[in-house]
Parts: sequence; structure tokens; C-alpha cells
Amino acid sequence: MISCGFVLPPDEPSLEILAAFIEETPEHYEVSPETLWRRSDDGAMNPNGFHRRFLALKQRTRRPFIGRGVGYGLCDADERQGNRRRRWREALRRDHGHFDFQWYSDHLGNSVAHEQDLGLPLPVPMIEEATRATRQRLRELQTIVPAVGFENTAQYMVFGQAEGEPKFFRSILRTDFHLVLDLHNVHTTASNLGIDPHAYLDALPLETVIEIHISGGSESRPHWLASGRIFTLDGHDDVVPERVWELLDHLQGKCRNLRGLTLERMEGTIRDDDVPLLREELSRMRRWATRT
Amino acid sequence: MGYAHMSLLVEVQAALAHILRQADPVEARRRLCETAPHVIRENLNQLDADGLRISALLVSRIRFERILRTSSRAEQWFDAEPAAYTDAFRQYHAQVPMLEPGPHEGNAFLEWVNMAARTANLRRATLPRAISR
Repeated sequence: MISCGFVLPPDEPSLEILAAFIEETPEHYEVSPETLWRRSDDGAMNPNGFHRRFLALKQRTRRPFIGRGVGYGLCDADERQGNRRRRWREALRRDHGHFDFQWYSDHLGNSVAHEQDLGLPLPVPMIEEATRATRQRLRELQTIVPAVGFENTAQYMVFGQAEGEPKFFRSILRTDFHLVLDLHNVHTTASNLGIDPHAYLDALPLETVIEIHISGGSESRPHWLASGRIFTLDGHDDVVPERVWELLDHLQGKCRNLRGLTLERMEGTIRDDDVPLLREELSRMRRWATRT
Repeated sequence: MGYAHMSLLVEVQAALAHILRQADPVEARRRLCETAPHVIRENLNQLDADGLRISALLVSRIRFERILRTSSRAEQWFDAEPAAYTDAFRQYHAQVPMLEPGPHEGNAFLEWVNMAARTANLRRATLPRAISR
């Protein structure tokens, strides 16, 4: 059975608005562990209030949790970041002991470079060195959560051609790791870089897809760039557009190892009148899962 | 930037991290490529110019929001003098590397502004009395 769940927003106003929805509706929950940590001055990552709150939710509902990070630095080849990654893994190991993550992923790319944390997973050259580094980082995480993988990142630029990503993904995943397929990120990459999203999906190793993410986004404003060019943004901050639902339909019956569909809405973007919409989006996901 | 003995991947990523903190990332790429080894230039020049610009804007926005979330004093200053705040932020963002996110970020920004104001290294910005020391 394919479970349909929701990413828990680490934001008090959002959690208040969504209180009933969260208690009643998702079959699983997803969290980004680093949003549940408070960094101390010595670099340790200690549980914050959301950690306690979400742990209480797990204990109350007994529903499974999935972990999805953003900032481990999956494609980071810099050994000088070893201490930082060790601290991250220590915190993740502690949290896995509490939440028992069914599987864990992080975004493909690197948000940490030259001792800087830019907060955004940046593209990497699709070269052998990046494949080796990413597989090494995944093996490190696999010592904590046995089922690990990466999520495709929304791109605003790439080294080489975006059509080369599926082959790059295959070189990393092989048979050892899984893919979390974010369809709004596929839509964003296709829209920004002018590629065919169906052909992109068809070229992916779909047998490795363990989870599909569903979300909406927004667009940049024409005045942001001197060229007037508009980019689709990886905002996860709006209704799921029909183009994303259409991509989901394109995948019907093609991901034989799929275990979960997860709806995302970024913290700080949720209003009271979004609740019925989120319920309907989750229902639509369930109808798709039932047909699959 | 130095290119001593690190891997191609590390060097390209470090170059990109530097470029994306600059107000004009395309110009920053051009300047960096003037002295970079061929293989670094070759990789960096694959990146779409507008893609660089929008990515730099997003990185800047992430840092801008992180500072406001972690300092009520910064938030007060922004509310009182958005133009001066934004001007100071732009200079800070270009000059100071982005370290790991945390509760310290807002205070780190304000401390830098105070120091820069004392050394006259801050262009035109003024500090409201609410945050000056």
C-alpha cells in the first residue's frame, strides 16, 4: 500500500491552523531534522521545541515518520567539512532513535562549500568525482538509517545539460540507494531550463523511486532580472498546479517500489482557507495511490 | 581565490559559493575566471547567466530572512529604516561568508554593522538609536 502523508511545518502559526488536519489526515509524517535542532555555540545540534512537539505527535498517533534533510551536503567532497558532517550524523542518529525514520533522504547538490552554508542546494558538475563523493556521503548516512537516498533538486542553472541528470542519478543510485522524486522540482527544472518533463521522467531510474513529493510554487517577478526573464521557483508555497498532477498521472504504474506520496507546503505560507484545499490535495493523492 | 591542491569539485563549488554572494554574480564570474585554471573556467562558464543571477537573489533572500528571524533588533531597524538596513545588508552579504545557520546570525550582522560604522567602512548607512552601542 502506498502511504499518503504530509511534511510537518516547523512553524507555530502553521501548526495551529493545521492542528486538526495534522491529527486526522496524513498516514505518515515527514520532517527535516535540521529544523528540529537548535545549534549551540559549540556546534552541537540539540532538540528544539518542534522536536518535542513532533515526538509527542508520533507517540500520540503512532504514525510512521520519514526524514528528509536539506543541508548535509550530499555532493560535498571537501574533507575539511568532516567535523560538521560528524555533528550532523550524531544528531541524526539521536533523532532516528526517537522517530524511527522509515527512510531518509537529502537534496542532491551542495549547500555547503568553502566553509559556507548558502542554505540552497547548488548544482554540481555531473562528473565522476561528484558521483563518488555523493555515494560516500550516502554511505555515511546509511550507517544510521538503512534506507537512504536523495531528492532531485529544482534547478535554475546546471553544469552541462539538464537532460543529463537522469544518467547522473543512475550513476549515483545504482542498486544501493533510493530516489525521492519531487515532481514540482521536475516541473521547475523543466520550466526554467526548457526541457521536456515527460522525457526527463521516462529517463529516470523509476525502479529506485521510494517516495514522490507533491507541492506547488510560485514565479519570480519580471523586475527581479534586467532581462525580464521569469523563473519558476522552488517555493512549495502554493496550490499544487495541474502540471504537477499531470506529471503524477504520467507516472501511474511506473514506480514499482513506491512506498509513499508526500504533500508539501512550506511553513509561513499556510492560511486558514488553505485547510480544505490541503485536504482535497491529499484526497487526490490517495485516489492516485489506489489506482496504482 | 587560491587553487592549491583541492579537487575540481571542491574548487568549482567554492568558486560558485563566492560568486553567488556578490551583487553582480555574472561580473564576479568574469573576474574570477580571469585568473582561474582552464578547467574551472570551463565549468563555471557552463552556468546560465540569469540562472546565476536568480540563484544569487535566492541565496541573499535566505540570509536576509535568517537574520530577521534571529534578531528582533535587526527587525526593528529594518522596519524603521528599510533602505539603510538593506544597504548595510548588501555590503555585509558580499563581505562576510555565510556560516552555519543558527541563533547567532542576527547578532553577528549587527556587530558587523557597528564595527563597520566605527571604522567608516559602511557606506551611507545610519543606525537608529535602538541598536547603536
